Amino acid sequence: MHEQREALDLATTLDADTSTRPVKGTASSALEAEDSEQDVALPDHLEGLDIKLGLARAMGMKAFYVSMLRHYRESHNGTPARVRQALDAGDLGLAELLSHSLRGISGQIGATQVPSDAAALEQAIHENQSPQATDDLLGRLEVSVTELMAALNAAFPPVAAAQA
Amino acid sequence: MHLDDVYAVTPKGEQELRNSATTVSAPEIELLVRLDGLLTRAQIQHSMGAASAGTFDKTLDMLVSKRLAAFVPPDPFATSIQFQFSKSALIHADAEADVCAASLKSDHYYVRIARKRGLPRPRKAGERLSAIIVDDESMMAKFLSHYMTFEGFDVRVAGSRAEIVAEFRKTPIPDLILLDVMLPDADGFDILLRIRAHPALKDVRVIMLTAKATREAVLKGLAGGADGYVTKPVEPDFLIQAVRTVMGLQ
Repeated sequence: MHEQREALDLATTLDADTSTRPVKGTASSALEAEDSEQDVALPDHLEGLDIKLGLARAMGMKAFYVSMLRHYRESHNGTPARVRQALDAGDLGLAELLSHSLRGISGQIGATQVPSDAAALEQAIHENQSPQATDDLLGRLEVSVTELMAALNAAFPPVAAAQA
Repeated sequence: MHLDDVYAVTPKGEQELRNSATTVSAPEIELLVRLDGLLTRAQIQHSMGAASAGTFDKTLDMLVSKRLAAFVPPDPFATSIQFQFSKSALIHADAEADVCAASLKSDHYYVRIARKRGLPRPRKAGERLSAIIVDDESMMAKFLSHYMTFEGFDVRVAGSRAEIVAEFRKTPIPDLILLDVMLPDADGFDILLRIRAHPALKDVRVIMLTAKATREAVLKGLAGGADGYVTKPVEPDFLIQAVRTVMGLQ
């Protein structure tokens, strides 16, 4: 009973959080209409993700937020590996840019650990720290990204798997 | 006139060339057909040989005065042109940098309210403001597009140097540019300097987007002529507040 009430409160809070959704012209109305037409479920909790924060940054638009989470999973699942490849190839510029991009978009969706791990790695690369130090930080990033991806896969199964 | 100036034929000049009967002299026609908007004055004069050396400048002057040819300003986005921050701009920005950096840390955005620009471009009734988002991260560009669309802007996106140059050459001239500091093949601050050097873009409002609210980054943006700063991750409310302030929409 208590859990059900909490779930309802959370859902209500998420639905009612329209403080970042000013009503503007027809284009914005179209965005809202498109969002409300889809029946989108968000989990109560997702390891490594501050859902309330991320949803607020998506202007409270659940469908848009979920599509961004799916897009994030597809786009950045392999980013730590690409960073490692860049470092192995001696391309510090690319490694730094990849870390920087991952940091930015991870923060935007409300990820809790990945942004700080990516920022630490980005800083280390920028400062040309020792390969060992950089490797340690990359290892931490790989762990936090893997954990976040696992949580996203559990919450939003890939379409092919869902249809299986 | 400088030797590396470039001239192009105007629409009036093209009409003159297409007419069956011309109203200009033979030397003017001979020069007019060589103006392609690419070759410099020196290159064209060299191609015409020594015989035209004495009359070249006078003939070119005549074409310009008759509005058959026009000077082509150098393209600020040409990679051959190097830009640097002016010392005076850096000095002025230095005084403001601390306030800006502090504001970014506490409020996540900063706007230079005191900056004066030319009057906003006249818009037709019902015409929406337009914005160009310069960010190579497609998901971030999507977030920003949503925010700006909600605020009533028509949005275009550019993620690389080539896309940036292409978008800036399209019409309409944007009313606002959201400019990421770190791009794969360009530096956001360098792009900012080129925007401010562009005759059509120099008065466009620019808000820089950065994950690094360092004093150095702030200083470069202010010296380069940015109208505002917003830190990443971007909070919609802060971005919209900054946009409304720099655009005078409040």
